[in-house]
Amino acid sequence: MIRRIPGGGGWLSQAAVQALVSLLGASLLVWALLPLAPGDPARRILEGQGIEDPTPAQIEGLRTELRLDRSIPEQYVSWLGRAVRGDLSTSWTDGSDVRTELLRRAPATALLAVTAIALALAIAVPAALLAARFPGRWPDTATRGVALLGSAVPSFVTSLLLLQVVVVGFGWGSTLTRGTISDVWLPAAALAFALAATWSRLLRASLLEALSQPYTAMVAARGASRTRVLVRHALPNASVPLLHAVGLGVGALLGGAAIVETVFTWPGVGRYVVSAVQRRDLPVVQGFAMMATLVYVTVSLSVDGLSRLIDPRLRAPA
Amino acid sequence: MTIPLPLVADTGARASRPAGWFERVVSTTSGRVGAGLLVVVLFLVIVGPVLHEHDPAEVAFGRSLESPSREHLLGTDQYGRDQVARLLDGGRRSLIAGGLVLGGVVTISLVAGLAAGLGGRLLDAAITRTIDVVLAIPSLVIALAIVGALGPGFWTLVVALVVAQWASMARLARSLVLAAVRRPDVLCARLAGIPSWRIALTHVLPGTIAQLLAVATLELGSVIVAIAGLSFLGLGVQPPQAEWGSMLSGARGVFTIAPWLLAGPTAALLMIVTAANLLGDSLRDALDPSTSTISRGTP
Amino acid sequence: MDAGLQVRDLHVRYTDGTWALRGVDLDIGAGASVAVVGESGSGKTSLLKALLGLLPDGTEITGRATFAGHDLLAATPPERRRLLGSVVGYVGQDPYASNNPLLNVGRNVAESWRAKGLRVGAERIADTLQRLAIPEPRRTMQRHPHQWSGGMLQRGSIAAATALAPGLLLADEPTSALDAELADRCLDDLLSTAPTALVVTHDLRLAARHVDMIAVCYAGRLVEVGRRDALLDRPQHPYTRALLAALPVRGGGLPRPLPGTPPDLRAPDSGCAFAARCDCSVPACRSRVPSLVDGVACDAIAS
Ligand SMILES: Nc1ncnc2c1ncn2[C@@H]1O[C@H](COP(=O)(O)OP(=O)(O)OP(=O)(O)O)[C@@H](O)[C@H]1O
Ligand code: SF4
Ligand SMILES: [Mg+2]
Repeated sequence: MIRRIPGGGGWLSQAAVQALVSLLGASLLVWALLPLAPGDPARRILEGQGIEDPTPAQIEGLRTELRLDRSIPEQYVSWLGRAVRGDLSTSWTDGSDVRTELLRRAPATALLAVTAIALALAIAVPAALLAARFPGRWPDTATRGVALLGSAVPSFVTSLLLLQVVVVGFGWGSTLTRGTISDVWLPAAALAFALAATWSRLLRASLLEALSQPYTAMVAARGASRTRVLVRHALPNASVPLLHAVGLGVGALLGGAAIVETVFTWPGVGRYVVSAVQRRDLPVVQGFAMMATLVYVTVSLSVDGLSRLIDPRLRAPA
Repeated sequence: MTIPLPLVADTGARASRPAGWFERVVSTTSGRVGAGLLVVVLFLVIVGPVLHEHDPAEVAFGRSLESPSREHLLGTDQYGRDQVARLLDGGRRSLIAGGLVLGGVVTISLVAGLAAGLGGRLLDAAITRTIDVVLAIPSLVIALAIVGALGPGFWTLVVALVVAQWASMARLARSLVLAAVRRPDVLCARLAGIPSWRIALTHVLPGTIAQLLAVATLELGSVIVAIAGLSFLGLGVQPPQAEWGSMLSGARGVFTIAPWLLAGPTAALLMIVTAANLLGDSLRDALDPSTSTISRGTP
Repeated sequence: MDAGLQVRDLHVRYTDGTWALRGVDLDIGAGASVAVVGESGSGKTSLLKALLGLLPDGTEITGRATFAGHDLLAATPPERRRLLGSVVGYVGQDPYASNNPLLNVGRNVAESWRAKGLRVGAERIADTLQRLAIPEPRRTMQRHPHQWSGGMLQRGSIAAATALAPGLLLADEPTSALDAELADRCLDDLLSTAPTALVVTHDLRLAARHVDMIAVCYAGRLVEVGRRDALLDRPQHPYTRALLAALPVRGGGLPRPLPGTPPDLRAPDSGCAFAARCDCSVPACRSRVPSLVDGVACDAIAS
């Protein structure tokens, strides 16, 4: 069922314009890396395409083609024009098309990120519900302890420990992953641990906040069970802050997945970008940054939209 | 006449608290444990290298991958280097880099916050927009991109993390300055015709700096993890220099035969992040009584 | 078996050692309404919460409370859930805060049935709202609490609380969020829907216009209980007199605020709790806790 949102259309167009402005600003920052970085882009591109010693004529030709001989603003506009049309230039190391390479690896990273988020939610929500149901008692203390640990251990440490214990110790899974569903659990768990830690504490705090509100006492006074008060009333109210945390988590995953992908040799975007950064392959890095920003901006927009769907007060004209 | 400044700037409904938040932090268990851990780590890292006789860079292939012993408490790595020495040396490097990053972040945020809060509408709009744009890019992605442009190394790492992290702090600085500008003493000073830069220096800056530095301390944990993460990927501190993340990266190839190499850096990272998290929890409660665990704990 | 509410020697002690109630005795005949007045922190909310069974975990509760043959304190959690809503109803203070902001008013009202596992249709909900004179309930109940006016929403809350026709209605300052005229109407509505009612209020004057009896609460005890007119015309307990003196009177100059502060509720009992602020206290007041005799708990008056 599609629910009609009063004033929803106005909000959407406004938020979309804002998102576009953010993207445009981000593109300027990302493009600015090109003139800032040492070296001549035209020469690097030609070298990447396998031309060992490009002739001055070849370089000049490419400079004209990419408008690198024009003024700085013109260079940006032409770069942006190509980026918008999906032309993210070619790699400086092997001349491959950056967009094709990124898109080829995107599904693996998406699989990893979505699994990690689902796993983190599957751990965080029940843990927070238990902690809020018995505040100060052992389920609360236990989740708090695990959460403190989870938010303190960096994902590369988690990854190494998981490899050490699960793969080497128990002999489950393998240190080399192929990017398939059956392989996704270990790297996803490494990413999910920290997310679940933060989210469970945040959700617990929001649940207790909701439980201290008169409307939950009111429902209890009408004979609702504690579970009903918690799940049907407190949880929906606590879900808006959690949703925003999930949005931020996506942002963290966009960069953080690179680390876990590297440890587990997961064939995703992150590992590709790390090796590009090591070789200072700027077009790949720029393409990745734009793609990540596009995803992040879209996710933030969806989080805001979903929050408005959940909480009618956010839809009220200010 | 001097008007005493509240150490924590008054933000809206929250009552201003003249000093006292440090005492409040230390009065909670998590605050005490956090502060204690931080002091221990700082002490080890500053004094440790002086007391420890091994040289972190001393290579001895004859004694590579030795398990922990009296001579080498945490064992040796592939090159026979003493792990304790490398841990302490790396910790020093991490903390210096973290300090530089936070110093840079606080400085930029202060300038941006003061300019936005006192520099008029246009400047405020420009700075706010810029902050929004930077926040639209995930911060680790910014850091990766800058390392990709400038090439890995200690200073690139510092620059990359400053650029990646300044925006959220600048947003906080702007709101603190805006709150301070509405304080009665500042209004009086403005009406008396005192130039903005002097108001900024005498009335707004001290309180804002204190608050930003407090928040910055809490970020130390996450900054050190970011440093370690990038170094782990080979994009930060470069070998042969020691750093916790790069030590773990070095251990990665051999951890099946030398698992002890994971212990030191893992414990060190855990300690510093836990310290920052605990301090952060209690500082948040101290600064904002409405979210204190005491009032949250009663259903 | 009495059909009214009987409270005997009710004690409530919070986990931090605060004695919120130190022996409350109260009888309300079936169909009567009582206003509980008293300054902030005197234990009024604690009394209601004890009767509802909504005090926080770990709170010590002793004593007896029965309504129409149901034991309110000894009830097991499932028994209590059966009582709540159908035998005992509750109306809160702030109508906006006591409605789930995410649900429209209709679904908030529906919770009166759904909380107890009953099904309910839109027709029934609209009828319930209609009873409290809410115009066009079918349409307005689709709107969310923040889109309602305060007075209307509080009437909606009263409608919800009385949806299953509970015999006893407990209300905690049900009108303090409303302006004077609305407050009168709401209290009227509330008392007309409820057979037996216990209404906590700060507003003695407002209560005086509507209820049958008044109970005065001080430091966890009822210090005076009586029929409305008798109590207002001839207050006996020194605290009641001070409360009435603190009311502003037209042409009477500035009201005389009650001097002093309420006693420490964690300290053990030592004589009359009001002694420190009492004009009439005698040395004996500080050694013996006066009990409620003929509706007044004051040894100096009783003797
Ligand atoms: N959960 C709790 N834990 C500890 N003490 C409490 C708790 N709730 C209330 N108290 C204390 O118990 C005493 C009585 O509180 P109560 O809320 O019943 O007073 P009240 O008469 O309703 O006051 P008000 O008019 O302000 O609503 C107060 O001293 C209060 O501080
Ligand atoms: S018992 Fe004594 S102190 Fe208490 S109210 Fe009566 S006269 Fe005053
Ligand atoms: Mg109360």
